Amino acid sequence: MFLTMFLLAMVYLAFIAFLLTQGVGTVGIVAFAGFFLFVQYFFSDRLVLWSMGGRVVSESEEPELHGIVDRLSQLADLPKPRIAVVKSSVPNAFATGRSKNNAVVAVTTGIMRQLDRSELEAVLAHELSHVKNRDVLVITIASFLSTVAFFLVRNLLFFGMMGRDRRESGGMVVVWIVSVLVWLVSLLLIRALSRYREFSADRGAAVITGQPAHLASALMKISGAMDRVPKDDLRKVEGMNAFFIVPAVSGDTLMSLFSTHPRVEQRISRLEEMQRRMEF
Amino acid sequence: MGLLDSFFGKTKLPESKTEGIFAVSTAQVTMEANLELVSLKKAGICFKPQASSHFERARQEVEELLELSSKDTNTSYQIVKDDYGYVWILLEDPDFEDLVSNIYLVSEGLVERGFGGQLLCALFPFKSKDKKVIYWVYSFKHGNFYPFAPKPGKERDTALEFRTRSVMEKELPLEGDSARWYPLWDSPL
Repeated sequence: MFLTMFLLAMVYLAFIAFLLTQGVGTVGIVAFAGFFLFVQYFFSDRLVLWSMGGRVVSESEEPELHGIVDRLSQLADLPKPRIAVVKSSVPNAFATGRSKNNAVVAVTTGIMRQLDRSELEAVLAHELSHVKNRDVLVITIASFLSTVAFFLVRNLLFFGMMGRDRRESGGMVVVWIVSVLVWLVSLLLIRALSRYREFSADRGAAVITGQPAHLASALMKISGAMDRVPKDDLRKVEGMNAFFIVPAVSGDTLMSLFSTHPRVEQRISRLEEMQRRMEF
Repeated sequence: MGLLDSFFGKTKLPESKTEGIFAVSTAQVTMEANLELVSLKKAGICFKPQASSHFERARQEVEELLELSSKDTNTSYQIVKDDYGYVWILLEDPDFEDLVSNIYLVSEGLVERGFGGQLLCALFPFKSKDKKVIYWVYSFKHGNFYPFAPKPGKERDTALEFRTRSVMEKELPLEGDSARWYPLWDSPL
């Protein structure tokens, strides 16, 4: 996934560089980036559902899912979100949509098969917490800020170079390297933010269901099952990791710094901590 | 929950508003007179149990209160757990006001012990002249009511819901946002 992200960013940077050579100013480029993020934010529900192959299901199709979500939304005082199902053996769930009123909560057929009702409820409560915490908005704003920071640094450097040294090719390389560094740092920050939001959503699920243990056992089941699922299926869903309940690549294969999700053991120990605190 | 809380991801269950429930006592008279909806002499209150000894203790205390109070009002009750893991206290009493006061007692009991957030709803079933069942649901989070008229096949009788709503608008505090008219399929009532 890291490689994918890296390559994507390279393409993105190349495109921006092209715009720069065409004489588009910084303001124009930030506006352009802002526009893209806005589109991504505004259509997040449709984009994510479409890219995941999720289908919105009615009450008669999935009475159990609706029954669970009806009650949880009422408890958490959220308007009821749409519910979607993704046909995939990978056990996972995600939430998307720009606001509480446009939210979609989705689960894969794999997760529905593997979890019992109380565990499924905990997972759905985790996703509803993402909706309640406005995580799509938070992550979008963070991405936008990091884009702006990136251009600020890049332009400061660029003009600094131009003033001091006219050897353009050498200057461009430095600018490019620094740009990549800034991008890396902002990526790490966004990942850290994303992990914090995951912990928050776990906490939210425990509060809403009143049963931290149910989420812990769901996480254990899912992460255990993750290792047994064929890799091909996993690669397909990698791009969507930021929205998933457990990332499709197991924590050990990636540096935890780059991970969007905290390690499952860490999440479970926090849930156990919550359970203990409820007793005092 | 404030905006800041949500941005920092500090989920809390919203507190419950219990006072609004009494409005249903007077509204019930209008419902019978104007809509020919008759109470089934039953009511239920639903909450989400929390896995902690504090909650268990609170629940026991509230149950003891209910036992005393129901003897007083001659209300019969039973406690059931539904398939979704929620607890229902189901009450039966020919006197509608006794139903309401016992439900208030349970809800207020949980609120006083710090578990108001666990309350989901209270349910009052009514029957129309053509034998359709319609529920008035009291939402503790908003302190208001909304109608729920189930039809077979997980369909809602929207026409009936909106008709009863327009008649009851002056009598009951109503939930204006129909996105929050959460259905309660397969309720034990």
